[in-house]
Amino acid sequence: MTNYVEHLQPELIVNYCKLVIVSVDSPMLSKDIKDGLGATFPFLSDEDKKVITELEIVDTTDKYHPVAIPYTFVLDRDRTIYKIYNGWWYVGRPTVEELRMDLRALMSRRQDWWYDKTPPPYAQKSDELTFHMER
Amino acid sequence: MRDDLKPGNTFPDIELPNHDKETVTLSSLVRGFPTVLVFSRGYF
Repeated sequence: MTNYVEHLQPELIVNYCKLVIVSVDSPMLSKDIKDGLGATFPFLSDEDKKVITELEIVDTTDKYHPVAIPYTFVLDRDRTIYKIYNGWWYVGRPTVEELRMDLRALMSRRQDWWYDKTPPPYAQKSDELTFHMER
Repeated sequence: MRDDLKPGNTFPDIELPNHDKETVTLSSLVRGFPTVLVFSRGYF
């Protein structure tokens, strides 16, 4: 998480992208962790495991302390799932660079991504990319 | 993981208390911007 605070957080502020953390920690502990890290993004508390149970992402390896399987979801503006990272193995968790690429891909769908005029070959009509075209 | 959680589908608008004990919805946090949603093992 420290790499996100150090490297991703400053970019999110200027990039209009959001980062949200969910854990089974209490709100009080979440606040301590957030403040300790110097994080400005929100930490949500699923203390009773209701949400992670509904989503079927509970890690029951330790039956006394069920926690979330560390999935990361990259969501578009309307919460459409763009990408899913399974962080069961640490190497499965997305790096700052991978998240930057994902967020770039999503932000570039905005009509105002090209400040002046969309250059070819990007200025092509598609269902997904509706750029303003001037020829 | 639940079957409907796959690329192209809408992530459910989950509702949870935040670090200040205020109940918030995911949609109120996303507010029309790309969002990285991390499920953390936490520290307990």
